[in-house]
Amino acid sequence: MSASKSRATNTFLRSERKSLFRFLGVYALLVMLLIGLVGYFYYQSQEKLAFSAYRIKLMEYATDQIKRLHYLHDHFPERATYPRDDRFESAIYDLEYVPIFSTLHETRINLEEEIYRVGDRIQFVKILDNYYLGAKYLIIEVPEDTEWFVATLRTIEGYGLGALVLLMLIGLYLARLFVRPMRHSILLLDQFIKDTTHELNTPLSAILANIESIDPEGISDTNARRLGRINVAARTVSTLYEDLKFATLEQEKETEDTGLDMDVLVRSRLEFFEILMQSKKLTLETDIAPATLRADRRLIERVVDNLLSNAIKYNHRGGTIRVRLTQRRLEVADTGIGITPEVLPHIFERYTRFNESEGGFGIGLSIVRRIVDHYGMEIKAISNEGEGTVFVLLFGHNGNEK
Amino acid sequence: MRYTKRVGCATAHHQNTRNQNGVQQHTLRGLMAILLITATLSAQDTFDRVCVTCHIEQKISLRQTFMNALLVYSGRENMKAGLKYFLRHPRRDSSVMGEAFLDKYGLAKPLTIDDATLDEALDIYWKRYTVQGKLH
Repeated sequence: MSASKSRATNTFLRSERKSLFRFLGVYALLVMLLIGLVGYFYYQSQEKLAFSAYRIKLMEYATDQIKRLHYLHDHFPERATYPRDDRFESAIYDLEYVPIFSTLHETRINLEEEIYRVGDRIQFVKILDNYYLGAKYLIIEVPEDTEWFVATLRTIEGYGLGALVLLMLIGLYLARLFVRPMRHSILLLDQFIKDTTHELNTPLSAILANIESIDPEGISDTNARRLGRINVAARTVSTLYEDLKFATLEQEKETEDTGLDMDVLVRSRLEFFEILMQSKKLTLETDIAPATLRADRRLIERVVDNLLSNAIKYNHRGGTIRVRLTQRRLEVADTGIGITPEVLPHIFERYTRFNESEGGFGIGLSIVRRIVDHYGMEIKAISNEGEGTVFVLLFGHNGNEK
Repeated sequence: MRYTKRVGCATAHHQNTRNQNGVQQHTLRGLMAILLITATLSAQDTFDRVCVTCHIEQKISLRQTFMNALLVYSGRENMKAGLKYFLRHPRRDSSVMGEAFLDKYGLAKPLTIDDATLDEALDIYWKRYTVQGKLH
């Protein structure tokens, strides 16, 4: 099994990364909303400016047209040709909104607004002081010049994109600033575990070797019981040590896959944990069939050890552990405290523990997950709170191919 | 329009010539005259009867008064309402005509014809002189 050094040292915990992404997501949304609002107000102001320019021009046109209407009014009906101008189209409406004459392209008029856009035209409404020809409303229409619109859109796009990039960089910097203490703590914890693990190796080996070397026949019953308790404690520490060693010191090692007899391995690990089971007066029920698997013994041992040690650790005193092995699956069931539905989806995350009453660092199942994922196996946990938990490892198909 | 005028008095000169031309000839002429007058009267609409005759007599252009009213009232209904009120209660300050015009022709007397006739006359006035539909 291999893992890059940067991954080992620089990646956050999944939950931390989730928090970071959530923060950045919300931040990006707010930033885009802010830029959108600023863009909208900028567009509004540019539109007002453009309309102001139109207003001045169209007012001049309207003044010219009013003079012509005045002349026509005075000479009607001898002259009845409505005045036209190449620069604009126009229309006159009476006080009751009845059209008197129109050359407008766009007939959707709005006599309530002074100047407005309709279709691709700008229309300007001038209310006459004298109703020449009965006209109260004079409408001047010109095609809209879209130059300002394109220029405004380009400005919004350019500055908006720039602002988005800048604000996102600031957001990223802030996010990193906020999570830095957490990241620092995790790295510190990792470093601490590494150092501690390294220091544990020699004394733990010495304790286990010496326990093995003591002949129980040559000591009193009391001392034999004490020795048994020391043995249980030492093996518990040994399991923890192996996990820590794997998690901190050996995860970058290349795997050495060999053909494993799973039944032999499981029996061997059951034997190792026998003394721990006895200490909690647990009953072991086994149904072990021959099974083979191609994998690194060291890694599969970690999987089996963690499943067994959890089944012991979280079992009730006097409870039962059932181990069932077939060619394709390994089941480890306990009659312990169970796992709450809230915790169940997170049990394979690092530093997640079933409850606070038992010891441990919460790294065992994260190691199991990493190994299972590496070999393309599948593992699932079925639990009823207060009744117990069953871990099912499906290894047959993928495991044999590796 | 305030200037109502009685039109068409019956002729009676046939009584003076009864003995000279005979009864039948005079009776025929009388009938023809009555028919002519009746035909002339029936060819005139309410507006002609109520307004035009007097305006012609006074030499006041109905076109000019209409265009002046149009400058002030703009729309059909507004003009009808405005003129109706003015014709019922004529005042210098509510007239659409200028001071010089009023000095020359004076202010009209209040109209006393019934509402329906006045409305009809004003409708015809609008239709006859309106600008709408006459520009090109």
